[in-house]
Amino acid sequence: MLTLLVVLMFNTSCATTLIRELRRPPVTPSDSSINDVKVHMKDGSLYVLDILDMDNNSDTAYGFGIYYDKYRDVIIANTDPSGQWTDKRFSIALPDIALVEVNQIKNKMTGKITGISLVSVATIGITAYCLTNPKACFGSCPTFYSWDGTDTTLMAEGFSSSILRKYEADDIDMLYHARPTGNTFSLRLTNEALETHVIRYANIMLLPRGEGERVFATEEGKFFETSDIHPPVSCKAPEGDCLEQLRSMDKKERYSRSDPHNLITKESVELTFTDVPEGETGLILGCRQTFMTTYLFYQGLAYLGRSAGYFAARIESGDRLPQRKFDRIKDLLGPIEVFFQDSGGRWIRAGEIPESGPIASDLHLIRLPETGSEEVKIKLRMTKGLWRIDYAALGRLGREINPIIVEPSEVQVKNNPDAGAVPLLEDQQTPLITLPGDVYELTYRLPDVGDNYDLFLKSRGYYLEWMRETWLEEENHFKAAVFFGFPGLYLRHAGNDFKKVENDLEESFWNSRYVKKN
Amino acid sequence: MSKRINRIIQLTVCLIFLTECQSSMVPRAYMPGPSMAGKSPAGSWIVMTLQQDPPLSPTAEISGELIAIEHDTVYLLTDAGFVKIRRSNISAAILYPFRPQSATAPIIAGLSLLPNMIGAIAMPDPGVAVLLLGIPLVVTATIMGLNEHFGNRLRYPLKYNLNDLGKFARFPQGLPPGLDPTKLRLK
Repeated sequence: MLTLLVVLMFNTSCATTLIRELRRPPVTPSDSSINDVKVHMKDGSLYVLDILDMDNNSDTAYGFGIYYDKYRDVIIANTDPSGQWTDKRFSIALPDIALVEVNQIKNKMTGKITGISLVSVATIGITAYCLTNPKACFGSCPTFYSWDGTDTTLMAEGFSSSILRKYEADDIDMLYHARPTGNTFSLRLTNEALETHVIRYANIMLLPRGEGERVFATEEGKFFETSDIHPPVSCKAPEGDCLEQLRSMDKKERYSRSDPHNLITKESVELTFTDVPEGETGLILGCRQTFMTTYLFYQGLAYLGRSAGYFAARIESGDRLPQRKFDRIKDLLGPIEVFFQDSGGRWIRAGEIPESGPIASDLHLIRLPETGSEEVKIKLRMTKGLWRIDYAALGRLGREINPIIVEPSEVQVKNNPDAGAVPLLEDQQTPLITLPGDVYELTYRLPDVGDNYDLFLKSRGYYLEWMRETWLEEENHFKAAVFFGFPGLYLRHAGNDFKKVENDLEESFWNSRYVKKN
Repeated sequence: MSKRINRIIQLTVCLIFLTECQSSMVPRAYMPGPSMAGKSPAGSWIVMTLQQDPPLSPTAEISGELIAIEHDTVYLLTDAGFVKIRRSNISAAILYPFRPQSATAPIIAGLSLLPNMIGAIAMPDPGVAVLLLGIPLVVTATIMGLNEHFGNRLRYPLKYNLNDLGKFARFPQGLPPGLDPTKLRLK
């Protein structure tokens, strides 16, 4: 054992390595963009850029980042610390560029850390519900609670799809029911799962609106004032009338059971709206996923067993093959596709809602073209048993507006008096890391914009599932090979197993939340 | 707990402190994480061993931020100021592009093992599960930590030539015209 360790000490080929490449312009063989580059100028000044756009038909490159002089004093920056563009782009003359520096990290440590963390096994703290239904153990990302005027309720779940650092992405959730008191707004951030959460930021986006209006966001992150909001006059689903469940955002949801013969069977729900206002309109949909995705995700981890960490590390290290296999399952399950019926009776695709997450319903805006008709029919096409729809409405879209970003002014640990200083969620390189049972209070000082505004939460981070001991008992690499290698085949035959737990998943999930007792 | 497991855990703990030995030689401002190393406007920290007329003169060591490497001269910015060194006098050099990651794996492994250890204490018969999962975890982390301890350095002449190290200089293109060395500042 000692000899092995000594040999490995001198073998650094597995260690994290920074590979630096210097190129002279033109930097790329064709028009393209490069992320995270440094442009060394002939006069000694330096651009450190988040993105550099090259146009090989022109003598100029463009970028966003920070510009330093030769003594490394900042001359100007056109991005803020979160990477948002704050000014016009730099124009960089190609003849003045000495070198362009591109860095690549090989064998990044985070991939290996992911591998270790994923193999952590929780042997305590598993509730009875979790033991009886292991695939229903509470999971899937940080949860945010706030005051709704009556009680502190669940408002949002952050970055549900970010199950590894590789999948880290921004997530915007509408805090539809939030009722701030005065100019201070509080969010309770909890980790109620057997997971490690890594949170880079959790900012509030404040959008003033007019009386009787609400603000909704599209999948592209654009915000629109919306007025004349009204529910459908009819809702037809395979099981019958579903109008009552969709009238308001009240947790009375329309959902279906999965197809036991094929988990990716599709179904359609048709909505009819009358009194369609003139001008551009938008469909507003409040929805969340059922626990089918959670069940399948956990099942995949269970089949991988002790190898789960290895595959996670491969994805983190940039291996596209396992990542593509994992993404394929998500593609097969699919989003909610939204179609509208044109004057010729054809169904035209208007957009889709892909957001994952079974915990908190979120609201989505799909822009619709002007039809000139007083009635519009909408079809929602989705995988049977995968979606729970709480609310549907049509509204007239006003102007697009930009949010006021509010960062937390205070981050407090609520249930650990011995905790030291807590990152303020200001610096993305110093994320807040939470473990099961952690509770934090985030306080925001809202600007004085009057009483009419809507709040959204913009968060970024990722989380790591802890392998449950009961899952390891199901380790089966043959089944894992089918699951990831032939997902369509697997999903066609997994229906019977899923049906055995489907009815109890919702109750088991909520009752298996991990909450520290003081 | 068996003697062997005890020894492995001791080794893991030692690795956590090994990092501190290396990083105390290099100013903290010059030890970014790997992902930030590519965004720093400064050059990397370098430690050079110099020898003038071997084998008569004793070796000297000098360290500072690597400013530029040109075809016969290396430029450093040290605590004492801007220094020019003839390439022919450099017998060895070690460049540190980022902070060593050697503590990270053992720390994560230690934290990850906590549920197992608590569970083992709580359960009447921890059985093979803790050993089967715990030992591979600790061994993996130990080996990774050892690899990482030496992985963040570029060594001349052992593995790289001076031109390779020049890529990590503040001015990889060479000293710019009109540069006033007295205005250069360490991070």
